Amino acid sequence: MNFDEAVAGEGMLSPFRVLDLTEGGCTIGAKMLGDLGADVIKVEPPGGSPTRSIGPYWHDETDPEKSLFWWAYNINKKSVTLNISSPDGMKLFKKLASTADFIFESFPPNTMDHLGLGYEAIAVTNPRVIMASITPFGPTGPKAHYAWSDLTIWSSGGPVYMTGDPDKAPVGISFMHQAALNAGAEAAAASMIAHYYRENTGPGQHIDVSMQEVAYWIMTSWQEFWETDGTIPKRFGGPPRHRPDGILRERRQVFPAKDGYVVFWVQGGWGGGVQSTKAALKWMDEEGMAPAWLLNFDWVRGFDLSTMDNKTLDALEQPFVDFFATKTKDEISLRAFSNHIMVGAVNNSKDLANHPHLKERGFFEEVAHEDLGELVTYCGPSLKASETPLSFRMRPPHVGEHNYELYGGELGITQEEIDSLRSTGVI
Amino acid sequence: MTNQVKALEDIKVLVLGGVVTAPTMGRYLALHGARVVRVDSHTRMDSMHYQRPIPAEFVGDPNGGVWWSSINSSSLCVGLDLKKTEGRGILHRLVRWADVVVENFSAGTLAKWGVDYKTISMERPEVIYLSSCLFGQSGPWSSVTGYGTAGAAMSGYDYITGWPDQEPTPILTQYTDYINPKFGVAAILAALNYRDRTGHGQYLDQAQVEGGLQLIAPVHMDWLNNGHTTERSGNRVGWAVPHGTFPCQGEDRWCAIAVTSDLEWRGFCRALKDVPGVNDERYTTLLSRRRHEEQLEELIKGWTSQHMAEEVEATLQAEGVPSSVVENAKDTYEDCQLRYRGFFRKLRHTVIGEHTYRGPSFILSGTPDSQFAGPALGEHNVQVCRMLGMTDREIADAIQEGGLGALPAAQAYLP
Repeated sequence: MNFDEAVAGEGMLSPFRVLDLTEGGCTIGAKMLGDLGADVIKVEPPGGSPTRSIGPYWHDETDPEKSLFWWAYNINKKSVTLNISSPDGMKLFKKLASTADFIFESFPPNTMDHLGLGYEAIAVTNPRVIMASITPFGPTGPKAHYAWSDLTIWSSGGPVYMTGDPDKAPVGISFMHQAALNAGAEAAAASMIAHYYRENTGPGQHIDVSMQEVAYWIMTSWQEFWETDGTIPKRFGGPPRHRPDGILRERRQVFPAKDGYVVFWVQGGWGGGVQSTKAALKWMDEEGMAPAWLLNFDWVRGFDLSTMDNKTLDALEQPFVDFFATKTKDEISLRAFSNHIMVGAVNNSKDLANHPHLKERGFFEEVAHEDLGELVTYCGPSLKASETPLSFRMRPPHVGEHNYELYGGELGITQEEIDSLRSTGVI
Repeated sequence: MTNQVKALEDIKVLVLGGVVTAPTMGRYLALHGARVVRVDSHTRMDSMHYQRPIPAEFVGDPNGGVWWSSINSSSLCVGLDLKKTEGRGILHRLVRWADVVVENFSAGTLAKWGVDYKTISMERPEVIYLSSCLFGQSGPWSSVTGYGTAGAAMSGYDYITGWPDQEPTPILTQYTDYINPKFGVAAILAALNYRDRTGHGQYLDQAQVEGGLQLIAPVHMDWLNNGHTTERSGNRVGWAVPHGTFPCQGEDRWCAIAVTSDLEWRGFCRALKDVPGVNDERYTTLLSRRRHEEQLEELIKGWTSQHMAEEVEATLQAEGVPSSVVENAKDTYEDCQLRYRGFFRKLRHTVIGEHTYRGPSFILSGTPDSQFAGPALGEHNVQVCRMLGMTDREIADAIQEGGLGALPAAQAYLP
C-alpha cells in the first residue's frame, strides 16, 4: 500500500464539520479531526485567538500570524472571527452551529450555557450535534471554578509530584502545555465514540472532559499504591539514591552515554524484558565488560523486585552504567535495533530532525505558506492510514481568513451586513 | 452493569499484545460498550501482570496485579499458547470475528502467525486493523522494541524535563503509551464510520514516537524552522512569574503556583499582604518579575514553608491565583473533585476482590460508560470460544492440548 497517495481523496471524516472554539493546547482536538478529513472551522474572537500569542514564533517574529504553536495545532482549519457574546454574534453562531456535526469548546465552566449557546440550546435545532466541553475540573464540583494554569492542573492530577529529583522541587515538562494538549486529544477520542453512536443511532450528545482526570490517567500505576499497600511513591529522577527506610530503591533509568544519555533499565523475572537485559549483556561480554558472575546470574528466577535488596540492585546495575558510558547514543541505538535491547536515546529536536527513520517515513512535512513565499516544516500526522491517509490539506488560517467564504458564500449574509458586523466588532 | 444505552454496543474488538498501548485502546472502547477480547497467554504472559502494586496476599500471582486489571477493565480475556495448534486455531477464529484488531507487537510478529493485516484483509477487506509499535511498520528502525518510557525519551520529553544544570529527567510513566491511544481510538472509530459509509476497511500504522511528537510539536518546529533547541528549564517559563512548585510544611509537600496576568498578580499580592517585600516595585510587572525571579521565588518559599500546602492553595485560590497542591498518590485518591465526579469505582475482580478502578476522564451525557472489573487470565475462555461458535467438545480439546488455558487461580472457569 502507498501511504502517500490519495491525499486528494475522501478522508475518514470528510462529510463532517467541526466548529472549534478552544484555546491553548485544547486546540489539538479539532486538529485531529481535521487530519482525519473533517471540515474544521476555527471560531476566533475578533482580532484573533489568544492562542496566537503562544510562542515560539516563525523566525522569531513575535506576530500573532506567525506563532508556531498556533500553526502546529491549527493546520487543516479555516478561520472565522466572531464575538459570540454579542447579540448578533450569538445569532450568527447559532446559524453556524446548525451546520456543525461537532463543536469543541474550552471556555470556563458553563460559559456556553450562560450565553444560551450550550449543548441543550444548540441541540434544539441540531439534535445531531456533538459538543465537547474541556474544562480544568469539569463543570461542577468543589474545584470547578479554580483558577488554573497547565502546571497547576498537571499538579492536581499527579504527574508533577512524580517528576524530578527526590530532594528537589517537583517539576513539569518544560513545554508546559501537557495537561491541555492531552485533554484536547482526549476530547477528540471521546467525540469519535459519540460520533460512532450517532451515525448508527441518531442523536448527538454532550461530552464533559476533565483535564485533571486526563492528567491522572498519565500516571501509570503509581496512584494505585496508596490503596493497595498504603505507600506513597516518590519521584526518583536523577542518579538513583537509596531510600532512608531501606526499601528497595527504584531502578536507574537514565544512563550516561559518551555523547548524551540513554534510557534503559535492567529487567528480569518472568516478563518479556529479560531478553533485553541478556542482549545488552551479550554485547558487554563481546567487549570484555561483563563480569563472569553477571553472565551467570539467573535473570528469570533470581530477579524479583519484591525480595531484592539494594546491594544486589546496585551490583546488577553498575556494569551497565560503566558500559554505556563508553558508547555513543547512535552506537547504542543501532545495536539495540539489531539485538532488541530495550534502550532509547534521550533525543532533542536536533536528533529527531536528523533521525534516519523519521526521514525515511517522511514524518516531517513541508507545507507551503504561499503568503510568506516559504515552506514551513511541520511534524506530520499521528499515524498512517492505508485507505484514507491523514494529510495536511490546508495551511493554518489567518485571523478571519474565511469570513467571506462562510458568512457570505455559505450562510448567505450580504457584503453590507458583513461589513457592518465587522465595524461593530461582531466579526 | 445497567441497562443503559452503550455507544459502541455492536463493535467487536480483538486486542493482541500487552503492556499499555493496545489494551488501553481496548479499554476506551470496552468502557463504552464494545465487546473487547483481550488475548493473553497462560504460558507467556504479559509482563504488565507484574507491574506493581500487587496486594501482599497476591505477590507471585500474575492475577494479583491491580494495574493489569485496571487497564484491561471491561475486556474479556482468553489465554492462548500460540505454539499449540489449537491455540493458533482460536487466534485465527478471533481475527476473523473482529471488526477491529488492535495489536502492539514488534513490527512483523503477527505475519509469522499468519494473522497480519495483509493476510486478514484478503479475506475480510472491511477489517480495521491498527498496529502500534515504537517506530511503526516501515522504515529502517521499525523492529526496535521498547516501552513508552523509551518512547518518551526518544520523542524528546525527557530532554526538556528537569533542571538546566542537571542531566535530563525521565518521565516516570510510559508517557507515549498513554498519549498514543487517544490518537488510535479517534482513528479507529473514524475508520469504522468510513467503513460503514463505503464498505472499505483499512490499516492504521501507529509509530508511538510519531504519536508522541504530537504533544511537543512546536518545540520541534522551533528547531526545524528556526534552528533553536529547547532546553529544560525546571518549572520556569517566560510567560508567567512566579511559575513553579514551592515547599510547604510537612515532608515533601509542595504547592504549584502560576501567575500569568496582572490580575492574577494583584490577587497574589492580596493573598500575601502580610508578607514583607511582596509589594516591592521590582515585582510589579511580568518583565521585572522575570529579572528578579530568583529573589521572588525565595520570598515565596519563605511564605509557603510556613503553611500547609492545602492552605497555600486555598489562600491563593480565594484571590483567583492558579495554584494546586502537588498531589501525591494519597492526595489524588482522596481528591474532593475526583470523588465528586465519581472518577473512582470499586469493582470486584475475580481473584483480587474489590479494588478501585479509574473511570474514563470524560463523561458522555447520552451514553455514559459501563465499566466492569478487569478479567483474570483466561477467565472468559469458554464464553469467548462459544461466542466463536466452538462446541464444548472443541473447547475441551483445546484445553486438553494446552493451546487454551488459564492461570491456576483461574482454573475454576474451565468446563
